[in-house]
Amino acid sequence: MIVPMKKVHLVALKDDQEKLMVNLQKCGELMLMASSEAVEPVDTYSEENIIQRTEKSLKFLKKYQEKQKLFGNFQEVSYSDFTNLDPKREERLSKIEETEERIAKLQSENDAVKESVLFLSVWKDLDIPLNQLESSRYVIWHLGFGEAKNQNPIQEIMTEAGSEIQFLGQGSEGLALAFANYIDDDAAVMEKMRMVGFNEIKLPKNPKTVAELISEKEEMIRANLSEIENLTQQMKEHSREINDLKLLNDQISSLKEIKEAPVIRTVETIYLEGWARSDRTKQLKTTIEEVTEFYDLELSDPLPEDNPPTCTKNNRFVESFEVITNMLGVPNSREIDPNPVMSIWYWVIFGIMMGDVGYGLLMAIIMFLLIKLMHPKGNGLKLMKVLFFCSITTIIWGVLFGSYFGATWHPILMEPMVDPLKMLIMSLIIGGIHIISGLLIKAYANLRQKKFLAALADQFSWIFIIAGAGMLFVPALATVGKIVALTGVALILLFAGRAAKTIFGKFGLGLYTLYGASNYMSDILSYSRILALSLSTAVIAMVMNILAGMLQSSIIGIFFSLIVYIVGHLFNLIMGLLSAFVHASRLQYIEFFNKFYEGGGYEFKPLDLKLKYVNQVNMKE
Amino acid sequence: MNEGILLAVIGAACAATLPGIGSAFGVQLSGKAASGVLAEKPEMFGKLLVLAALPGTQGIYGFLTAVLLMVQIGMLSGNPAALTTAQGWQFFGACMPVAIVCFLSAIAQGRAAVSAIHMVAKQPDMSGKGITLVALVETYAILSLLASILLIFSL
Repeated sequence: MIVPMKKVHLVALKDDQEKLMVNLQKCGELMLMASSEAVEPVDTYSEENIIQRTEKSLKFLKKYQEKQKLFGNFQEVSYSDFTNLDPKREERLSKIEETEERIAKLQSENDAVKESVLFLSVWKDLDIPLNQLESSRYVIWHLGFGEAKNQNPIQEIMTEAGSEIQFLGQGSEGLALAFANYIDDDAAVMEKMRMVGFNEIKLPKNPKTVAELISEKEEMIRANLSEIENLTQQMKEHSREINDLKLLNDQISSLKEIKEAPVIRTVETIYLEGWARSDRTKQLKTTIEEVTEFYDLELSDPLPEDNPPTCTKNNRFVESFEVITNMLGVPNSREIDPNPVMSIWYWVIFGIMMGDVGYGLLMAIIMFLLIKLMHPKGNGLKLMKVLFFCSITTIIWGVLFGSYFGATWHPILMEPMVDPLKMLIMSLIIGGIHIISGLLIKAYANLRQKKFLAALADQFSWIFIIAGAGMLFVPALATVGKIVALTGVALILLFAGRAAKTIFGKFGLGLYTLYGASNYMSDILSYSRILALSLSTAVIAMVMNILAGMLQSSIIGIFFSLIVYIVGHLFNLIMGLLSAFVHASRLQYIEFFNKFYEGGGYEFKPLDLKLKYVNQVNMKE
Repeated sequence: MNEGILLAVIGAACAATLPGIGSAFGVQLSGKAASGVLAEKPEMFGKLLVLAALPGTQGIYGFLTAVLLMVQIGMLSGNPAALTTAQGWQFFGACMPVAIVCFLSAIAQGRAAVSAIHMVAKQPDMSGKGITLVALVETYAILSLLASILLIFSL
């Protein structure tokens, strides 16, 4: 059910503001309304800065965590720890950032040095120190790359000119060469060299030989690597305290929330305006009284032009399915909560679409393990709960259809693959009843507002038509069906046009409304997707079984057929879950909700602790 | 193999290939869009996966129809019934709704999924509405599947 809201006006002393806000955040009962007057913009720069830095560092630290925990850890913190801003945490954050920066710098330095080592390694046999490769009065030195296949022609050019040449290593640019020419012959020799594809390069002047340079650089790489090793060790130690960073993030987020809360201030007082649940106003009063006895609290019912937030209160089963409605849009605070009825229908329809005992068992086990071990939060947790509950109906319908991992055994109700027409009729009947229940909800809403004629003319008339049309197909009830359906038609003709002025207008509008029957027909036909989806899951399961069965001729074959079983059924399970989720939701959104649902509300989000990483705060300590 | 069975097999082959091609294209379109969004927002993978996978169902429907036809004429159990040429044409015709509609609707659904993915990239809370919009296209694929199944089972 949707809990009625109370509007809250609270006046208190400015001196109590800090303690009051913290206490309000702790109890989480008041949703503050943003108000247009006199709310000064607050500077949350430093909080946002810390939040950003912690998120970045958390990403770094994940790499260094030693035992990659497959199952999330459950972090529980006492309230006194949560509110204690220990400066050591910020220090740790800074240290982590420094270390990460240094590691990155060392690694890029190493990359650059490795590049140059690679380049120099071709020249390592050149045993002359590089700064002595200067040209003298009679000799000019050249260094460069030639083509390996031209080694002999090059040798000839050299011997002919009386030059000295040393062939060095082979690199990606060719064969490395070092040679010296007599200064007079230089131009001629270089001309010939260029014709055999010689490319000259210059190496940097350095009092060491290439080999010494290379070993120097390699020493640098080694030193860097060992420093990286050290720093990595430090990061690993930091990663053991990763909970510190997570706590810091949540603490600062909560503080930021308080800072940004809309509070109107005068010289000595503060004024807060907001919404609270009407069934929890006592808790709100107690929270305020814990801080101060000087306050004025006014609780009033929302006016017709107000737009209060929506807060639903349902049992654990229905509560899990609220996520389905909220994905479409939150109900508005004045309408009837659709979730109790929707949850049952979703539960049943999902079960028919999956309809297999084996898959239902797998779903139950997997969802149970995921929830217990991974401690998911928010929407992920809600969806897992939905799937867990739906595994129950999947198993029930699986027993009714006799489907066990695709193999058929003792179907109690019917076998969809053998009797698709019977299954189709069942789907359409389910559709009819679903639509009727949607109409009943709208009728209830109308009756609640004393709109009796509307309920009769708009809802009950159609219910009679649908039920009557359904009964026409059952020979025993055919006459009853005819009477009921005709009553419905008469009701529409007489009353649907009651808004029109003339008698002719009334009948005309009534006739026009009867054309709406085509909409109802297409709605009911839409439920045939229940047949289609349950059939598709069943057939693919059967095909996987056939494929696996074909391989069972030898021992190795049995091994392969086991793989086919596992992979095939997992694939079918996942595809089935996706389709069933989407189409069961779609049936609620389009065929069911459009009979009565308005939506357009917003969720009741009171001021409370922002827990993004911490799982639970123990309020008692 | 007599001509009747040949025609029925060709029908089943069309039902298996065309929707598969359509789904492949549809999922390609949505996969490309999802990859683009993930490059900027890696945390949205779960929501995008559902949207990207939605155009894939038509291929399954086509496969289903082919298998159902094989079951109906007894091919899978090893004793194919002796079909006349007329019956072969009937089975061929029965496969056509799924073959044609699922082929085109899968590509269409892929395009719808691309738009929904772009929308969810800007408004991550609207993923439910995006999924609903994309699932609307599937109505026609399901209707064609139903038509084919009913035709196959009444022959």
